[in-house]
Amino acid sequence: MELEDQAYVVAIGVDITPDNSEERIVTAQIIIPSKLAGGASGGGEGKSFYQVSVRDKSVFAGLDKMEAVVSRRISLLQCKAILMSEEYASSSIAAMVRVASRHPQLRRNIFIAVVPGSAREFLEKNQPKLTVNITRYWEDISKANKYTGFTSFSNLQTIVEGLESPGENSVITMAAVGESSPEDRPPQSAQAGQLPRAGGTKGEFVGNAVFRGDKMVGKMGDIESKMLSMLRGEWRSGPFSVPAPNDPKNSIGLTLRQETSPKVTVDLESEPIRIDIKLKLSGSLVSEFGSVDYTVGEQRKNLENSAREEIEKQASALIARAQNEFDSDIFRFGNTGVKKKFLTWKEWEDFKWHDKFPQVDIQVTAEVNISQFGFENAPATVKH
Amino acid sequence: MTKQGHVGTIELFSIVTIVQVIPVFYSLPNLLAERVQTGAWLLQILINFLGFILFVPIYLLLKNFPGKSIIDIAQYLMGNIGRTLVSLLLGGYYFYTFVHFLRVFGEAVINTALLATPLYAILVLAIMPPMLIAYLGLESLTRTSLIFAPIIGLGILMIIVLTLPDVNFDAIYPLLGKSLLDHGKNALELAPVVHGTLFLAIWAPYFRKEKGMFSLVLVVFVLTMIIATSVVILTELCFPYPDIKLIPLPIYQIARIIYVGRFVQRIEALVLIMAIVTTQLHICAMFSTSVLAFAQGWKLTDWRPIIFPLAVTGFALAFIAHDLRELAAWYYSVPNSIISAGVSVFLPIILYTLWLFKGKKGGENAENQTN
Repeated sequence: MELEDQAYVVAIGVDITPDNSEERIVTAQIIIPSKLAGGASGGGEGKSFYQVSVRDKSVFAGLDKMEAVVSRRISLLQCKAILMSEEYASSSIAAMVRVASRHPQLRRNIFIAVVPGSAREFLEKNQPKLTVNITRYWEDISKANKYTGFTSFSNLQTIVEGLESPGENSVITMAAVGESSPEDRPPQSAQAGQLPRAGGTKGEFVGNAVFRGDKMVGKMGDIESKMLSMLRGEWRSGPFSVPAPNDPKNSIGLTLRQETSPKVTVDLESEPIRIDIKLKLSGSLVSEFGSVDYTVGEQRKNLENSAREEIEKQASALIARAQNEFDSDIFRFGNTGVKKKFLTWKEWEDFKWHDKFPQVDIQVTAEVNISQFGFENAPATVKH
Repeated sequence: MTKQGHVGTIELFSIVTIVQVIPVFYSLPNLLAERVQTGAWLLQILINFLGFILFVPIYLLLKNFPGKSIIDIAQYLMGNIGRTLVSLLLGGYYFYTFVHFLRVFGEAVINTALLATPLYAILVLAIMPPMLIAYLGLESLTRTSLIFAPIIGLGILMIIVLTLPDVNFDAIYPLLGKSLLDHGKNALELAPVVHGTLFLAIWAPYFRKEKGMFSLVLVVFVLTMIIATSVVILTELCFPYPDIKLIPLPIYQIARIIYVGRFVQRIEALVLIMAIVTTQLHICAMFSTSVLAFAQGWKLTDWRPIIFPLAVTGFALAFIAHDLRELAAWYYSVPNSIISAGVSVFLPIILYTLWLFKGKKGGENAENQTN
């Protein structure tokens, strides 16, 4: 089939219909190639894509039905994202994941996100500002967690693994239309749609939806998502705030880098089962830190201790939440630690890790080494 | 007999490696995972090891009957009936393997690239190279394989390197998957299917150099073990068990997830070309072997008249299986293992034993009787 005969879908939205939980509203974001070639982008009349929504019994039946209104053959070869409503994610994503992972045109590295409210509305309201190409926008968004940590790595492959593996559960990036303004709330832990900000695109990609099996069972905010990334060993480098050692009410901004994958030590003999996780991070001090010189001696040690304590505290809080509230091993401890204790799959499966996870004693220790301070050795002193 | 040409050592090395490696392009990794779960990598190593052991009786025959094909050896040991019987067995077996891989090839192309193309159209195109190669002789086949072997090797290496950022090393655990006894049983069952080298005994009269066959095949098996085990491990690490069980065409699927920056992505088209060339070489080898076995059995001075009827029959038979899954299920089933073991393991053992009973007379005696 000729390229010009195809309508390329870049993103798919999936919602449950308000009046029938068995039916879906499928939204496709379709590229307008001529607009891409002309360099137009963003909102208004010049946007490089348009949207079609169809109601049908299943997601892929809906996509087929779109060909009644799209003059070309629908192609998912360029599809970069699937967004689903929270309601849909809470019901069951297994059927869609099965079809998507089998679909000859979709790739396993396609970005997946959960939207509180309507996925269709999100796609309508979220108009990229910075890029010419809508495909590029989705590619950039799907990789943003590498340098922000606000979300976790979430694509079709990670979700398939979370669904099928007896040693982990899935998380999926949360996306929402941001309606807050900077005056609305203090800059504390935020979830998607709650960032105190103005300007930019409407879409916010913050936090994760937590799954147990194929159903969404909870959400986490940006700080919890950062902790999750560290505990999973997916954290590369990103901003992290810690309480100032001399003034715990204020925060100091660090850029933390995960030096090695977390070291997971499992003791199956102890009662309850014990897991020790060692995180090794290094960082640079980037934000303002007043007149205190954290670059040397005792103050630097204090800052490192503050960072270590904050990470251990936040990590322990998230683990407790995962054990007590979500009942879901989103950290992959089953796969990265416990599974290695067995030689055969049957032994591992019979161990029934998911049943044991809530009772496991999990201890986190962090080692933080702050060694970079930008291009000034010490804070400038104010003389007047 | 019209000349098949001469098969050089390096050319032989390349085609034997391709024939040995081809199953990992298709359903072998997911089948191994289905059998021994996360221990697929170990089973692959065992299959390779056992495959080489199975070559030993073939080697002993070739060594004691220099320049003779297994069909000539059968005539020497069992007379004309033996010759006809062995040629029918071998010709039929390689024809059956050809038909299997022809259909696998067709299904793979439909599933990956030409979704809307009818199967018959693909099979018509796919059957042309085997016919041409069988017409031109073994030398053309082996020389062609030598041209493509380095490209295929580089392609596999490229996939392994580019996939490294996406692999999950924890997916290899539990290391054994199943017990060592299960591994042993499965290796015994699969080795004759996966690593048949009996075709070398049919090609023997055309080898440019007969000495060093043992070391050549040994190197082939070591290389195959490295390549095949790497691909199986890579598949396990990219699609952790139990997901791997559902992944046919693993190399293609792996290539689809490669994303190393904006410029190195969507390279599955290159992989597809590589897979098509490799499979075509394999199909050509199987078809040529089949033609050769029948021609040797019937003492045809010119084998070319049987190419077209065989190709048409193969084309028709290729439609029997329902789909790729059914093909894989049959190919790695117990009955097929028995068929493969019967032909590629027991036949050379029986011939070798007969030779031992005949007082170890080969070489010139065989020369006198077969001519």
